[in-house]
Amino acid sequence: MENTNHDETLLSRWLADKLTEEELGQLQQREDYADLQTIVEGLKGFETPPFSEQDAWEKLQAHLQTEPKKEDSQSQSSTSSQETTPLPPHQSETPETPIRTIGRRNWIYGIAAALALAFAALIWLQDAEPKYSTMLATKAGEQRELTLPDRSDVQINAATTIGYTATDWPDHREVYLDGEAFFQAKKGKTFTVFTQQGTVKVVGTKFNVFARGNELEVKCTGGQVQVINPEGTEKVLIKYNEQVSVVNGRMQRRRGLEFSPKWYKGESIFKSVPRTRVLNELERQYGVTVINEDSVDNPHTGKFPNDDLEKALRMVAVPMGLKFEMSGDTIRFYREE
Amino acid sequence: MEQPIQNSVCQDAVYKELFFAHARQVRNFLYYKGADSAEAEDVMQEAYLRLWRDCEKVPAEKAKAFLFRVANNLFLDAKKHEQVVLKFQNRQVLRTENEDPQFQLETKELQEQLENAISKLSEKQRTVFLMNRMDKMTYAEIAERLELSVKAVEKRMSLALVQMRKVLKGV
Repeated sequence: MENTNHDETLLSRWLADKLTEEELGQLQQREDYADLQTIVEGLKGFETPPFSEQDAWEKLQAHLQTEPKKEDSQSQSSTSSQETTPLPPHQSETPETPIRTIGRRNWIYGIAAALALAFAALIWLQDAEPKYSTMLATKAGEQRELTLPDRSDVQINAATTIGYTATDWPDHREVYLDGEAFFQAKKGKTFTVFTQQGTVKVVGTKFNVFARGNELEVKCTGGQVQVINPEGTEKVLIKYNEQVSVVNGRMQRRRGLEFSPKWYKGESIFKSVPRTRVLNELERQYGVTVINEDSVDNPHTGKFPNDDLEKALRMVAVPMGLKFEMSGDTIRFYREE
Repeated sequence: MEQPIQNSVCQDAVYKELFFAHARQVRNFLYYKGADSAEAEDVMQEAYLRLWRDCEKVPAEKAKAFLFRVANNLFLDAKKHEQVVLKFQNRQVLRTENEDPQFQLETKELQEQLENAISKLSEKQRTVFLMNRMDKMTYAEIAERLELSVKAVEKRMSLALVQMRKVLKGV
């Protein structure tokens, strides 16, 4: 039995010329040695089909140029929009010296740069938030999707900043969040969401985190998550169909969701929230400025679509008993005397 | 500037280096798995396209393993349990200076037998074995690309050789 255990790597070490003289001597005594030699020698007559790195590279360039721009292909770790475009068709390098002839890019070191794109504002906040190498910020009226290094999906609501460090991921599975996001963690994957208002520990689950101002609200729609207040003095484990709110460091747990988040499906929903929260969400979803001249602040329950401003304004103003008028990007809510 | 950005796969130079250093290995890897030459190149191209699309999510040091993993998955999706018949397109008769027709015939026969024996290896053994024998990749390099331990690679190498001998000898 010992012999077979030893044999497990004997032949592989023989192939790699790593045997001791003694081992080699023993192997050469074996009756199958000649056959093994024949096999190894015989393989030398084989060749793989011809392949040209150069031709293949040019073909790849052609593919890259026709590649439709994907929303997440815009790299957050780049500081120049050039970095996100396909490589230019390349000219005369030989395959043997692929790197020598390439000009080094002029990186703008240490400068926070913003890429203003049609759908996205991607911000590299090296100085502002040195802890995370990838920072993504959505503008008002913009929602995005992100895949974390462990392939977990994140839907990001408008006016939200999210960050993580891909290179560090196996050791520090941390996501920074200021704003609102819906997470769908891959099965068996764990990570921690840090917010100003507390942390959320994740074990393979679906959940929505709303972290704005002094408020943190976590809704769990699958699996379970642990929510911890900023001081670390309170911990709450919530399961499927539960939610917890942390307001000014105090936790309020609720069994049964008030509602499932629908913002990533195009609808903002509210249940008994201050009117300011509804109006702030209007601002975030449509990139408008809202002025509320009315002083009443009854709790509001209702919803509005994220893609139809006129309709949204009516759905907000009517139940509040208010009128509104628009001028440019500014919306004034007022009570008719 | 921090390390991660300098080594980002999104940098043209880094990406291009990855291509010229590993495209052939990825293509051959697919070929050993049973793709024909054109399929192998197509799947390799697709793997590199995906690396570019995901460049900000793949750390540079994981890029090689990423390419092989994606290539493997794409190939499996396309092939679904098809019987692998590996044919080396370009067999060369050893020592062509040897004019002895009898010798040449034996060599040809041997190569056919070897092809047959290679085709009968399990896919895992065959891939590892040929990456080492044909592409001259070290066990450590293979282990890194296929996300295996070096020990696992060594075992597959030994087993592949033993297995091939059995087929050749009709044992």
